[in-house]
Amino acid sequence: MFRKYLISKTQSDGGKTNVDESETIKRSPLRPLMAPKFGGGSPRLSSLLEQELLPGLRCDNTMSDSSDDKFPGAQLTIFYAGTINVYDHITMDKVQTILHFARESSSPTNSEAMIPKKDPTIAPSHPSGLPSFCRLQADFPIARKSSLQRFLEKRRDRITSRSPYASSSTKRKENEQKIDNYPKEKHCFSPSAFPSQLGYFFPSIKY
Amino acid sequence: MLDMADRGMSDEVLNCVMPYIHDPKDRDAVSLVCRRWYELDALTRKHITIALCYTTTPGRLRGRFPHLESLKLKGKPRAAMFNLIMEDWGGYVTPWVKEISDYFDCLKSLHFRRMIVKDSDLQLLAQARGRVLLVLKLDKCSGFSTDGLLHVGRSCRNLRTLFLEESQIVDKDGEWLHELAMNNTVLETLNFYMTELATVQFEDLELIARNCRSLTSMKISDFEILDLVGFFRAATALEEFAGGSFSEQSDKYSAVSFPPKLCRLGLNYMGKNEMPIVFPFASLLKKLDLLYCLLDTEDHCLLIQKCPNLEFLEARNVIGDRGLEVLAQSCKKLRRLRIERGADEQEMEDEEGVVSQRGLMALARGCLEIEYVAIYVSDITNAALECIGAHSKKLCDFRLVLLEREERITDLPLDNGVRALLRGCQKLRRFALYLRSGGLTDVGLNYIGQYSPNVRWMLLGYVGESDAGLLEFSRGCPSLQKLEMRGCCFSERALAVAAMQLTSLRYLWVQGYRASETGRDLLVMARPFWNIELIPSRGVTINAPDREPVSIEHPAHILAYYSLAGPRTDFPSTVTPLDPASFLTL
Repeated sequence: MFRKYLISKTQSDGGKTNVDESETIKRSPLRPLMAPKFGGGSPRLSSLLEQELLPGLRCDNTMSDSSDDKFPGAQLTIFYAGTINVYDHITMDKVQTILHFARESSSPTNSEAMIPKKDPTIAPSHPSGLPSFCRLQADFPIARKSSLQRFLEKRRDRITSRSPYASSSTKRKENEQKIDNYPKEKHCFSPSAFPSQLGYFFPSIKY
Repeated sequence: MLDMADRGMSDEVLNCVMPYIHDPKDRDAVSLVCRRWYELDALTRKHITIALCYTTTPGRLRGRFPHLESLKLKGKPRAAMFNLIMEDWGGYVTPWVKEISDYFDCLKSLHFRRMIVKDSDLQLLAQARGRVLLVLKLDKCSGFSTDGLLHVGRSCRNLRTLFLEESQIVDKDGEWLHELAMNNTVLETLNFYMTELATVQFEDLELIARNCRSLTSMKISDFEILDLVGFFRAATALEEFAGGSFSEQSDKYSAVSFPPKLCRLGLNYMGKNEMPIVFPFASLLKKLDLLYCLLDTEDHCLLIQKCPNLEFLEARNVIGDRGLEVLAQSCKKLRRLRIERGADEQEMEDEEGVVSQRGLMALARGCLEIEYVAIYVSDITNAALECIGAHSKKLCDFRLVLLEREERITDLPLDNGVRALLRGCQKLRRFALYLRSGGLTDVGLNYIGQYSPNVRWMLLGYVGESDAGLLEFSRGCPSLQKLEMRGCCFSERALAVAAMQLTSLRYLWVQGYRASETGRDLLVMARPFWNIELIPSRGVTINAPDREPVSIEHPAHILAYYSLAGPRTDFPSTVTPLDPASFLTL
């Protein structure tokens, strides 16, 4: 779904400059754990568009008092499935309606209720988390090479087909055997440089 | 005589010299001297690599190089190898095959990489070029079946190389291999490694070995090794083998004897108990592929110790720092090392199987001939990178990925280490650095720009802190032709400005960036012959074994590249060209 580029809006003037945005990004907390979430655990900085359309948004923003009066009607451009549609004189409340509809259609908890097009007074309900186009810039894990991916899946299949009830215990048994066979070498060369490895390691399925 | 002197170097002399000029950059320079040299180069150029098939058209290629003998074409972005590009993105060989079948009478060698190939394409190719084709490589391609290969097997009787590695092929039957075995006596290289072709018959492999006395390289899909005993006996000239599979009855494998000249090896699913079958000829091994084996850290150490002539090693990070230390001690001739990422779940890999600064430093100090290093590390320090800069003077290609496994990394940011590495490794042409937030500051990113004069390709992941860093970076990198970035904190505007500032840039791929409010900031880089394409974000379901399917969102991509062919005309619905004209109404 081509969400980020679905809706755009002309700005009359004053967006944040990149320097401003950079500085605000710097001030937000950096988390070394995993790949960075844009917004980290705390909400991502909202763009000017988001601030104007969703003033109640739970984002760290400096322009929370935007009102509909600033932008009585402007041009709306929608990119969708290879086509570009341009509409003039779209009011703020109509844009909110469209955004709400798009959000509802694309969210995992999609409700069946359709928003009637003629009713401009429905206030958009804010999603419990960030709007969908904020999530577009959320973190994404390191991608794995397809060939390795297939091998790891096949290897797991081999192990489970051999002993379907004890995949991890089989490995533990193998480990124990290894320790029996090579007791001295293990102790001589065990990597003590990473005490954190055993304590902090947690399995993840990131691909 | 006087006439010839007036004209400078005569065509006769040039004709004698030209065939010896092979390097593409030299040829490029030659063709720019004057019209006459351009024409001579065009007539005599033997090989062309087109790094992205959409940068030109088959007709243009034929117009300039009508006597081409060898062509390599690449399609999908490199990210396709990591499941980040949808299957129907593009890169169809059909228009190229059509042109080849109608013209290009001299074409003998074809290499398609990451492209979509249909059975009908293979049929046409076999019909039109079957008799002259010497080399056919369908490298990480998709879209065809064994029916298409059947045409190749039947008609390409002079084929020396058939390469299908990692292609996605619909497997209907093994007839194609049988046809190849029946019709070909000159095959030297056969590769269907990392394909899922399961219907091939070992009798056909044996037949090929018997008929093709020059067979030097065979890489196959999963195939029981015990069924290949006859093949190994017949393939007396074999130097390279990879693939196969081991089942449970490990005591029978001692009966397998390998061809005498075998020096490049990769045995899939080889475990500790089967490993000794390699020992008798381990000292001959120049290349060892352990990516798909079932060995633990200790096994790696045991095996590597026996391979003093090793030049190229591939392994998962189960090799561990200890394995790299053994490698550094034992394999002084090592030129290429690739350490891939193993399973994340602890119970699936040896707990010793982590690679860090310790292994890297041992490697740098011990393997002074190293030219290529690609490595996934769990921990890293500046000192390790400085060590590489100090010792790895022949390094041309360096790729480092910092895994997400550890919460705390010993020594970040890596600014100083990266600077030292780049300054020390003067021959570096390809460079990849994939870190995390805090891994490299804007200062470090600026260092990359300053100290990589010869680097032509870069992959940067989670580097820098702000647009300022990117803009400084893009004032450097004078040779950078292809830039891939992932997980950026940079805005669209900064990306666009950077693309304009990088003087040699001809290809840009970005996934994960700060999009502008209107999306029009990308137009800062709009200019003639520069195609800008957007691949929107999409949800992907990962079927992780033993767990519920996981739904993750792949963020949007930007792909931009120079092209003489104008915008693509074969977009799928999921890719959108950015047309500057569409913004004129705003």
